[in-house]
Amino acid sequence: MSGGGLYSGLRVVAGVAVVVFVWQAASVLFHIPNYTLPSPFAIAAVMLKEWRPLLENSLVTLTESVIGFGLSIVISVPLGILIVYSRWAEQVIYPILVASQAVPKVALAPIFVVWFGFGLLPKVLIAFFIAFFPIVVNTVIGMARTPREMIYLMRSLGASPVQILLRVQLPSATPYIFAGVKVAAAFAVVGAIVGEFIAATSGLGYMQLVADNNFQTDLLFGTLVALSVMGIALFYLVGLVEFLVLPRPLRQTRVDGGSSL
Amino acid sequence: MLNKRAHIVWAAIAASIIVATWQSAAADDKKLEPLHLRLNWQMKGEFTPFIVAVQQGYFRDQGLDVTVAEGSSATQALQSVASGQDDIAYVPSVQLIKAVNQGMPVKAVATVAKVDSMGMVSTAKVPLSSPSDLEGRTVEISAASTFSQIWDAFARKNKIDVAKVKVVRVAPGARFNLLLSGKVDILADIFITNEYPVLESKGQKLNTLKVGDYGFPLIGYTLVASNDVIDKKADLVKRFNAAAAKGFQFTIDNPDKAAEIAAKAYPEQLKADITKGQVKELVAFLKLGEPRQLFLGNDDLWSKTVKLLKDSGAISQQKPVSVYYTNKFVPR
Repeated sequence: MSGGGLYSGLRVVAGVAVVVFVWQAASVLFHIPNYTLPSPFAIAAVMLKEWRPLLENSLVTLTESVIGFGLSIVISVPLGILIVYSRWAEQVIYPILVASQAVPKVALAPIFVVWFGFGLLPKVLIAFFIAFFPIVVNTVIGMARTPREMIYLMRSLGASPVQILLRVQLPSATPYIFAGVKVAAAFAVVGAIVGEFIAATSGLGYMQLVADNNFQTDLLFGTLVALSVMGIALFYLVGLVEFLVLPRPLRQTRVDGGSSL
Repeated sequence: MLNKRAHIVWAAIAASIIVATWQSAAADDKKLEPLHLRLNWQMKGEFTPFIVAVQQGYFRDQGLDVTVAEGSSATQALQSVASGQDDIAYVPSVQLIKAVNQGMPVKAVATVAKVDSMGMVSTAKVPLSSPSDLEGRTVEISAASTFSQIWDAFARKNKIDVAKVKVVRVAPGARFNLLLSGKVDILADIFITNEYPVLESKGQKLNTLKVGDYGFPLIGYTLVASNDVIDKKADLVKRFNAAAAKGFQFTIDNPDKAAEIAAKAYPEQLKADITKGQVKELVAFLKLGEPRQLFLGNDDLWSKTVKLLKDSGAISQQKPVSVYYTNKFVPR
């Protein structure tokens, strides 16, 4: 399996290298102006030159995303359990949650800024609001998918509802929960950026706005690269945690029976 | 039978007359050439002259069907013109000069405001009598604004210690609430011709500061076209300028009527009383500076602006002025 992992890793690197090569060649051959589409070399050059502000701003956005993301896990999983166990919660809270997703977070952001100022809090809240929903939904679905036979078996052994929850339902729901958490990781980054677009003093979204309006298209792309790296890193970090925490039978499987991060 | 044939003949004549007039009317409409004007901001009273030119039919008289489109920043308007998506942009000179320096194939075809109206505003309890009043304050400078382009240079020139200024980038729509609720102390990126009348109308007493008084008397708004359009659609640009100039002249001569026309055309975005205030400020600024003639620029004016931007460090190159602007399309 580790051999397979290395091979697929190499394939990814090779794929990226091809894209970068074609892009660079096209930039030079077709004389694409820097302000339309900077070449990979130009982007790399500016990222090296501005590595310090890029790193500092990346850390700000990362902090906002991770806190919002963490908050969403801590609140969403118990909320999902509540919705499965409580008729009232399912009929009252769940629809409200679904409706809340229809509110564009871009519209909430200016309100949050007036209420909470320019610091971390408004961005964390927007990241939380975007990220919590996939986790709630996946928790609910995952728990509902627990095989009935296992629950009957536990009951026949005299298990209490709490024991059934902790030993059967929650574990069997974990693949779904982790899937929701992976989606939430990417969403949390988006949420942090949306917050920064509305009002910020730092962060990659802030850097992107300033670069864009200063005609620094290469730096703009540099911030996009940094953002992509951040999103990918978070996604695979969740995958790593899943790999470490879950026993093999529960890990996300592919159609062909192999397993992947 | 004669009657019936006569009826048919008369019907045929009437039908052909109707079709002929319909076709010629349609053909007249077909003769209107389309042209896209991209503004640098959401609709505001400052854009009234263009609305007037559309509503009063000045563009139509020149055979043009002009679409006036809102924008979100001067940078984006210039990119849109450079890439050919729009024909003409209405942007402040600062971003045009930066765009040209970046190699964007664009040029000003009309120097509209010889003096720009950048300014700052604060509520009564925040003093704003000189640039040093920014120190120790939370100052809002939207990334999309013109002032954002020269903020570093302005701070240097006026010896503001930027470490003591908390600069906040805010989406333009969120600015007013933040100022009025006290979350920011100073809006440094406003135009006296735009945001100031809006804030005034909220009834609060305000302090203002004109950026132009503190070392940055720059050219204001310009009409910009791509070099491609200038070469291949020169006649279109000439006719556009002629009609637009008429819109500006009408606004200067009849500011209140112009404001009413604009507010009627865009009732959601433009409230009549605020628009009247904005048009009043606009007309006052249009009357400033040299040369006096509408849309006319000259080398002296342009080189002063470019040199100022270069000396203050806002831009790093100073190209010959003929690269930045042309008077070829200015109506005589």
